[in-house]
Amino acid sequence: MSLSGLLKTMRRLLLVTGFLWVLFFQAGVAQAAEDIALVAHPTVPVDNLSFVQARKILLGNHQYWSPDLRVTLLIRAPVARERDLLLKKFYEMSEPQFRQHWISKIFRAETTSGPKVVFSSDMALELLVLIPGSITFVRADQVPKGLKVIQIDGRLPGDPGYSLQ
Amino acid sequence: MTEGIIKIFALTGFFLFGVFFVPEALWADTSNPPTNEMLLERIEQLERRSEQQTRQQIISEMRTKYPSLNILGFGNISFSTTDEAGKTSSFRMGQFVLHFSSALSPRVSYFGEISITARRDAGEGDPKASGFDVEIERNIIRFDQGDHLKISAGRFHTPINWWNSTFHHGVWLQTTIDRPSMLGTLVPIHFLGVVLEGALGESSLNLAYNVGMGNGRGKVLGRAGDAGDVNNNKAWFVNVLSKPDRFFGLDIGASVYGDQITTTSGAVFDEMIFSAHLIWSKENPEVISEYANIRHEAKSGGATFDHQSAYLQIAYRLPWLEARFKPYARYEHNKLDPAEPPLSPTSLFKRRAIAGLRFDVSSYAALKIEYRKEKKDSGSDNNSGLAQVSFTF
Repeated sequence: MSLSGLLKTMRRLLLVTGFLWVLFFQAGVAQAAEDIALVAHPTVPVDNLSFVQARKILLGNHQYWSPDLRVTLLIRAPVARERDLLLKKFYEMSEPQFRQHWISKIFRAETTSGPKVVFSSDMALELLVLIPGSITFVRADQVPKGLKVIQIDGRLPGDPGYSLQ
Repeated sequence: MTEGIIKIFALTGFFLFGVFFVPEALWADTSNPPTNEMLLERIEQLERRSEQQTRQQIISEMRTKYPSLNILGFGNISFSTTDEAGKTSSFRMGQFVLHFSSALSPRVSYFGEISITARRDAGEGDPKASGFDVEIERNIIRFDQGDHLKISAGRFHTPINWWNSTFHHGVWLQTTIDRPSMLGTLVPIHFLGVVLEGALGESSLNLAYNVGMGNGRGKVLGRAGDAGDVNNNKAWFVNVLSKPDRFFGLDIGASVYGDQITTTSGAVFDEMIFSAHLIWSKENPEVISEYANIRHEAKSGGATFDHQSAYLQIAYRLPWLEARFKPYARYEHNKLDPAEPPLSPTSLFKRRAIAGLRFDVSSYAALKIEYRKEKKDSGSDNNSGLAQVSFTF
């Protein structure tokens, strides 16, 4: 192979590599944006939760961050992707089972009400700012700067192995 | 000159009058009527403002207020037919139950439960007409110190039986039509007193406890001592529960309950109940099993009577047809000492097997059909067919 042929091949290889890199990088960025972030009111005294701890909070079994700070769950109304993902990954329940779970909780006098239902990410974030101890789940690219995003098992949205992909 | 000054004052007066008193509409520039774009923009502005106001109103309503009363109800209607002598096939209105739950502050909450039950003898006259009994089933005020300590006072479902704590008075919540027979006479259902509960440490076993003290059974053993205890010995219980992280859905626990019971005839017995449960709470499959040993020891003479009761219930939510169907089966076994004076347990059956199907008509209503076969100590077998519509509202 002549030198010019070698250079041509090298150039093609570089172009293909660059194209692939851009493709995968973009895919990674898009994935990170679509991951669901666990967002918390600034008063929530944790930065990282294990998957199991997050599940206990979502099930309503763990109701206090500290003696003076109650957990308030803000969960999207049915059909939202955020809710579907929570039900599938954390609750391992169908929609009717999820409803029955909270009716049972109230029935057993373990809580006075279920999670607060929010109808959009904007509403979730607006309410989150107002209620100390509250947490919600929104798409990572919709989280405004300055809000507290909690790690799950030490991972943030976009990290490989993140639970809420 | 004077005229000039008067004119200036007059003009100024007219100007000021115009500015302050002439309606704004008359000032409007009608020479340039608003364009469609301007109107559309104005409509958009108004819509945005309205949406913003609605959202703020919703958000303001969603912030927890104290007290925040929530009401939840349960009801059911059943039909049963049996070959048992002396019984007729009939429709029955099940309990009409209302729950009131309210947060009184971030750490104080209230829970109330009222039932209205149809009874053949709840009315007036001689013989008594049928009617309805109204009862306060639960009446609980709770203070939360945190997840590790919650202190409650009031009337509870005695938490030494899993079914009693989880489903009692909530027929729609349970898979089957009726509760297991161990509840009621054998294991006390209600308890009036003080209860401490909470999580035990932070381990993967998720241990929790309940400790309580209060009035035990009344002279009629199926009833709690609501209007005062029948003796000076308070009833007490301790239970330990676990929901291990590793097996999400598993719930295991054990309880001890002690009391001194005084019967209508004045006889006094020490009562000690040991019970345990093992539950797989998911619906594919659902497994519920409980065991209880009830021991009564006479204070005079020292005679001891032991009764055992156990049941195993298995159900499976079928994945087809929107997962609306759930077949189930339960087997109950009561081993009772017929010589026992306080309980006179001969009315209870020895064995009972049930098989049924639950169909969830909607998210909040279910239709159940069930077949039962019971065997009594006398050796007689009874077969029954039941149907029930249960709901929450």
